[in-house]
Parts: sequence; structure tokens; C-alpha cells
Amino acid sequence: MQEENDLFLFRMSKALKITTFCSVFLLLLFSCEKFDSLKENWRPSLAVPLLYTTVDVYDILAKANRNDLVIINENTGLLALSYKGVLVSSSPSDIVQLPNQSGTFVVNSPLPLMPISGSISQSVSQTQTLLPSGIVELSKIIFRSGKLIYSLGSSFGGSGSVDFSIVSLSKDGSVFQRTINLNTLDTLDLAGFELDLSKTSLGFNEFLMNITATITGSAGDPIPSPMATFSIDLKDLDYEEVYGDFKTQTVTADEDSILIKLFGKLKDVGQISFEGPSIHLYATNSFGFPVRISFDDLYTYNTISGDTFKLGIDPNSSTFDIDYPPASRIGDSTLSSITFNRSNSTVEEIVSPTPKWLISKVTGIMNADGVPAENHLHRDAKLQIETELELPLSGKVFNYGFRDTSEYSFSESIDEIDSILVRANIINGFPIDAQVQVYLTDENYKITDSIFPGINENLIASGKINSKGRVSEPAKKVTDVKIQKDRVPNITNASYLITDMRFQTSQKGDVSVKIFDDYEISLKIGLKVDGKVPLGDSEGN
Amino acid sequence: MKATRFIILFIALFPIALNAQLEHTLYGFKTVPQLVKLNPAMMPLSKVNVTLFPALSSVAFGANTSGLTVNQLAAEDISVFEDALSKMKDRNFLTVKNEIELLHLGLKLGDNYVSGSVTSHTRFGLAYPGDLARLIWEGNGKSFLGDRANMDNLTINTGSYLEYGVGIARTVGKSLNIGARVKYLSGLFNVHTRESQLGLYTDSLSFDLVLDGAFDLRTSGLPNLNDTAEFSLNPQELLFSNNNGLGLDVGISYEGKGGFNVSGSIINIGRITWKNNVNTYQNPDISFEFSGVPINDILGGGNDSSSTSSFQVLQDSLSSIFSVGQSKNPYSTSLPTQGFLSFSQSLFDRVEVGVLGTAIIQDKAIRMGVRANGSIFIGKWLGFTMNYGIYGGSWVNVGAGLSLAAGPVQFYVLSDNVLGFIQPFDSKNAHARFGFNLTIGKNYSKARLKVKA
Repeated sequence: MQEENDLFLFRMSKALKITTFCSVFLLLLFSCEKFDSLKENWRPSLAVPLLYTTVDVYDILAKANRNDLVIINENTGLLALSYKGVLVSSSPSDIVQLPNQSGTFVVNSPLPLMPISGSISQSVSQTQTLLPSGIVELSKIIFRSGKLIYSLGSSFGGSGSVDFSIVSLSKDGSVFQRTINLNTLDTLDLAGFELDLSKTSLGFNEFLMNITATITGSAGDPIPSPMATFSIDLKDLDYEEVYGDFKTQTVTADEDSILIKLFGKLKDVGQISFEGPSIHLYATNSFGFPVRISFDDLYTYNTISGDTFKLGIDPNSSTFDIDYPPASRIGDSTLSSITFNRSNSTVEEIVSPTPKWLISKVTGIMNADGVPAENHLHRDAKLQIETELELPLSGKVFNYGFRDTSEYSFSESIDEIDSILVRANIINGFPIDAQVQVYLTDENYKITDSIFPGINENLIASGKINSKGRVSEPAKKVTDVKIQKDRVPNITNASYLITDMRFQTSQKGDVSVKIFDDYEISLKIGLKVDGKVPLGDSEGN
Repeated sequence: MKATRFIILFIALFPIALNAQLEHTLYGFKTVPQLVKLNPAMMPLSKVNVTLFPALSSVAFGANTSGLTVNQLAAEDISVFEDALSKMKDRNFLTVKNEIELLHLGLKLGDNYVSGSVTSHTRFGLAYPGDLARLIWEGNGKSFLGDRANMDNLTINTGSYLEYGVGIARTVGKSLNIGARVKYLSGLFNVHTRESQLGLYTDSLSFDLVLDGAFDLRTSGLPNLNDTAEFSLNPQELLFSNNNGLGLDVGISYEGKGGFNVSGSIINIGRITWKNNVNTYQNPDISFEFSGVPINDILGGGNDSSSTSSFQVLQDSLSSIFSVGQSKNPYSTSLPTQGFLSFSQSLFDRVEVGVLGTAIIQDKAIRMGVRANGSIFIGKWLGFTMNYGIYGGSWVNVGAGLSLAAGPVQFYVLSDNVLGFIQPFDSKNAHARFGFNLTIGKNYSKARLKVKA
């Protein structure tokens, strides 16, 4: 066994020697002075792709404006940006309120003296007011909740009871009626009951009760002017539906500010013009009455200049009548809209200064015509007004600029690098030129170097456009940036990167262009590094 | 100091010779009994021959590079190296071999010469495309931009085996010798590249990389690259392993009138089947395109640096390519089959001149060579031969051999390229065989090439 092991070791060592020979040979080659020339001149060039992407308009706009919509014209494919805000009106309880009510009704005996024994009976009809006149005139209520508390008292001893009914109050077609004994109290849950307030002579805000009292005497002495007292309390009333004439009231809405992110990081205002911008107001109304909207404040605000630009509106479009669902469709909603564009407003003028905010505040008047109305109101009803600024991506841009500063550090050792070539390979299907510069700064933001030769050269060239403003052929542009060794410290020692970008539409913003949904841009960045490969000490042997 | 460097370099370069160890000089050098390895029909000039490791042994080693010479690598004028680099072929070879004869017995019995031997063979063979060398030197950012760096047939074939051989040469009639040698082969370890296709294309505009190819690499007797723990070796298999193989050498020699001789042989016909600790690493379809890192990934992934990410992604992708399917199925490899064809003429009983053509099939290539030689045999003690050969990518190969006998003990030394020792830095081939034999019953003065010794 020992011999076998020895043989194995011998053979393995022999095999290893062969392999080691090769390795040693190569090591010797490169550790010997004789190969200094080889070592000094081994400066390979490595080319690798670094980054790539292809983005279309959805990617660009969705990333920049995640909460906004990109609207596509189905017929043309033309894109528009949509910035939206929502105003919600006051609640139904601000329009019709049901206060607590109470009433006491005295039933006098038809006899001047209550007999020692025997019974007497007396019937009366009473009207109970639910709401005072002048605010709203209700004709019917369907209760969602509420309590009717009723009780009976008397001025004599003995027993008694009251049979009473509220002829205006019914549930499932049955009129409410009860019998209550003397000196007792009872409560009715009003949920689901319907109260008809039109049966009195007034015709609204009141309801009718019929009361019949039967009293049996049992005391020793006769009682003069005997009477019974019947009381009701209406508490915690809330309606599911309510009908009537709600009169003319103000429907208030909140102020809304819409951030226009397209202009969010502007460095320079530049010049930008949109073809056909518009402001849409969409009213979704489930109130059972008409509302007339007037535009108290609708303006844009430029945070850079501090200027505001109030929307001028044609007098014919100065009010917005909002439709409402009929009583048969209570709970449903209707949609009404109004659009402000160049034909009825100054909308182009208020978006061209690249504002950051669109501020809207609207006020509504219900039953603005003032004539007697038949209104209705569901407890969940509301009026929602959505404001939308639509910016069609069609127009001209010149010097639309962004600037961004980011921290930067470089920790790789590149002492042996002779030069770095950064190649940007861009195929642009958009009708937009872009100039880009990346500045390197020290910790005090002092610019020490820049990546590209100049800001005035297009890094991205506009696609060729036809007479309709559409890109007919993407533009290919290859930009090489070569950084020689003497500039490497500027890169390695930089603390911040300032990215300066300027955009303009084709032909320096002179031509009106359109952005369609099939546009895309592809970007590839490659890197070619030339340098020396370190091979140990050149003085070695 | 320079002498030390020279010695080190000499030692390193010494094995770089011998185009797959063709043994030009040994062929027909009849004073050395090991000639039967190249043509089993030949009979040495001594009747009894014994070699026994380690005292009486025959050792051969050598190497060959068909690519660059040392002086080309070391030229002060880098254009010399770059010019040589540009002339490298699609396929270049680096071969290192070693052979130790542990035992040799040969006996002349009437018209027959019977021999047996035990020989250890070890070989390292690397075939590499010229584009690979150029790619290493200049990178992919110069001449390879817009072009495919062709690294097809980048192969490594190395291994070691024991050869147990028995041969017989027989004289038929008065002029013809025929011979054969049968060899049982016991493999120790092997690395075999069955398929290797690899190309790297770099787009000239975007620097996009496209890697294509396929590979099939098999090993035996070596640990699994992914799990060295599963490796085990039975010591008994060192002498007779499960990696069995058979080999055959056949030869013929004819002596015409007036001392003219023609001979030929084909040796190393056979295969070894490798079964022990087999690991196969395959990827039949490498197809990989790298265009960098999607910017969206960087924006969403929060990586530190785009360049780091790009290289990391590239590294991960390449790792996945070479995380290949594996199997344990046995495989077989062919022996490097060689052929010899010689014409010679003996003069004045002691002198012989001739030409020799050689061919070897190895690493999926046939490489050929030619040699012209002259030999002299004096008394019972001296044999000397010289030759000029063209082979192994070199036009300048001068071989020489010497055998000296003192009584029954013979010392010999041969080299196919003595210039490899004289001008090692310019040589592409180096080879040496030397050793001691016990030879009995020899008479070199009658060494006209008669088939009967």
C-alpha cells in the first residue's frame, strides 16, 4: 500500500510539475526585466455597454407625473396631460335640518264635574308643527332614524287611557295609532316611517294627530273640570329622504389647488406655448335640486415670478347650471360639464407663463331662479365638482430648462487608466432637441469640470418632422466624450453633480410640434477604457 | 544575475519542444533500444536490452509552441511582438509532454525481437486561437470593434496514463521486417475538451457584447469543480485503474539492394475509456447578449453606481452561462496517433542517410513534419546522428543524438532541436530524451540497415 501511495504521489507530483512548469514559465516571463517592454506597452482597450433604455411617452410622463393622466386622442393618437382636482360640496345636513320638537295636548272633559263613578269620552284633532316656515318647506320625510316619545297624565284619580293616531305618519301603508294608559310613557322608533307634511291646511312643515281620551272615575269626590294631558317629543331626527321646496340657498365648496408638475423643476421659464389647452369642470350631482355655479376664483400661480393669472371668462359662459336627477331617481346622480378654451376664455394666456398651480374656488346657488320648486334630498347626496386642466402636447417650447443637483462620490482606483470614452448613442423619435451638461463641483459647489464640451450642443437631436408637426423619422445621434488622464482627478474628487438640461422643440422652438403616443426614444451608453494593466514590479527579476 | 535568469528561463523553456513528441531523432537510431516505440518492426543493434527505473531509465520531455517565441515576447521594439501577434493563426498550440520508461525488456530470439515495457505518459496540451491572444493584448476596444473575436477551438487536453506494452518484431524472408505492439493503458487523470466554440462580438457603435458558442469539457480522476468533497481515489487504481484502454502500434521495414531501406509505422492507435470520477461540463448553446443595465433597474434598484452595476450584471450573467449541466457518463479519448515514413540509404557500413516524414493527429488537427538525417555507428560503443527538420511551425530545427556504450552500459541523449538549447529565446520547439540502458550483444560496425541484426 505504501508503494502504491508513493507511486501515486510520484505521478501526481509529475503531473503537477507539468502544470506548474507552464505557470512558472508565464510568471517568469512577466517578472523578468527582459519583458519590461511587454509590460509597459500592455495597454488594452476595453469596451462595454453600460446602460440602456427605451422609453415612450407613457414612461416619461407617467414617471414624471405619477398622479396625473395622459390622455390619448383615439383618432389621432395625440397626447395631452391632464391635471385634476376635486371639490366636494357641503353635506345634505347643511341644506335641510330636522330639529327636535315637542307638543302637549289637553283633552278637556265634556262634563264640568267628573262623576264619582262611570266613564266619559272625548275626541280632538291636533296639528303639530315640525319646522318653522321660511327656511324650507317640506312636504314629506322618510325617516332614517329618530324617536317619538309620548305620555298621558290627568288631573283626577281613577283610571284612563288615550287612543291616538298620527294620520300623517305611516309605515308600509299603515297609519300609526296607539292606546296609552294614564300616567304612562312610551317610545316609537321612527326608522322607516314616512311623515306626510302636506295634509294640513298649510300644506307643509306640519302633521295631523287625532286623539280620543276615555276616562273612568273611581274617586270619592267629584272633580271639577277634569282633563287629561297628552305629550309627544320628537328627538334625534334624521332623514333618509326628504321632499319639498328647499328655497334658494348657497352651496359652498372648498378651494382646490392643482399642482402642474410639468413645470415643477423649471430652472428657466423659457418660452412655451400650448395649442388648445382647456379647463374642464365636471359636476356630478345627486342633490335633488338645480345648482348654478359661478366662478369666483379660477387662476394660475407662477411660483418663480410670483404672478397670478386670473381666468377671463366670456359672459355667456360665466355661470354653469348643474342638472339634477328627478324625484323618481332619488339617490342617482347627473353629470354636467363646462369647458373653458380659447373660444370662451383666456386659458391659453394663463398656462403659457408655465405656472405651477391652478387654483379654483367655486360657489353654487341652489334654486337660483327662485320659483316654487319640487326638490328632494337623499341623505347620501352630494355635489362633486372636478376641475381638470388639459394640456395637449402640441405647441412650441424654447429653452425649457431643468437643473438638478446630486451628491457624488467616486471610490474606484483608476490610476492606471489613460483615457475614458463615454459614448451616448441616442435614437430620438420625439420632436425635441435637448442640451445637457453635467457639471462637477467641489464641496463648495464650485464648478471644477464639466462632462460635455458645451451646453449649446444638442446631446439629443430632434426627430425629423413633417408639415403636420409629426415626427417622420427618428434622429440618430452619437456623442463621444473622451476624458483624458489629466482630467481624471476632477472626476474622482468631485462632491456634487449639477445636471443642467434644456429642451426645445424642433428648429429652436420655431415649429409647432405634436407629441403622439407612438413616440419613443432609445438611449445607450457605452464605455471604452484605455489603460495599463499592472503586472507587478517592473524592476523584478 | 543574468546567468541566473538565463538558467531559470532555460529550465522553463526546456520542455517547450517537440511537436507532440514526434521523436524525429529517435526514429531509426538503432543503437537505442527505445526505437521500437516508434516502429515496432525495427530491431535495435543489441540482442538483450534492459531498462529499469530509476537507475537505468529512459526519460523524455519536451514542449512545443506554434505561437510566439520568447524573443518576440521580449522585444524592446513592441512592434516586433505586435507583428508576430498579428500573424498568429486561428489555432495555435502549446504542448508539454513527459515520458518516463519505468521498465523495458528486449530480447532477440532468432528472427524475432520481443520487447515489453511499462511507461508513464503525461501530457498538457493547449490549443488557443490567435484572436484570444490578440484579445488579451489589445482588449475588445480596438480592432475587434465591429468584429467577432474568434475563439473557437480553444481547447485544453491534458492527462496521465500508464502504458503496459508488449511487442514483437519478426524478420520475414531476407529483406522484410514486420512488427506490432499491443498496449494496455491505465488512465490516472484526464481533462478533455470535446467541443469548444466561443466568439465575442463587440458592436462598434454601442459596444454591445454578444457571446456565442458551445462547450463540452470532461474530466476524469479529478475533483468536481463544484463539489470537491465527492472526490475519492482508490490507491489500487493507480496501477490498474478503471480507466482502461488499449493501444496498438504496427510497423514495417524493408531493405532493398545496396543498403536502401524504406520503413513506416503507425503508432498509438487506440483509446482510453475514462470511468473514474467523471465530470462533464456542458453548455451546447451559449447565446448571450449584453447591452448594459436597464436604466429603469438602476433607478428602481437603488444601486450605488451604474458602472459597478453594469460589470456586476455582466459577471452574474457570465456565471450563469458557465453554470452548466453536468453528467457522470464515461467518455473516451483517442491516443495521439502518429505515422512515420522513412527512406534511408546506408553507406560504407557505418553511415546512414535518409529522410523521414511524420504526422500526428492530435487536438483535432493533423500536424506534419519532415526531417533529413545522417547517422554514423562505430564499433560497439558509438552512435551519432544529426538531422534537420521542419515541423511545429518552425523551419529551423536541428536535431542530434549520441549513444555511448561502456561495456554493457549505454548512455544516450537525443534532441529533436538542439537550437532550442543554443537559442532558446528564438526557438519554438525543444526536446530531449536521455537515459541509460543495459545492452548486450551489440556490434555497431555491421549496422548497415539489414533487417537481420
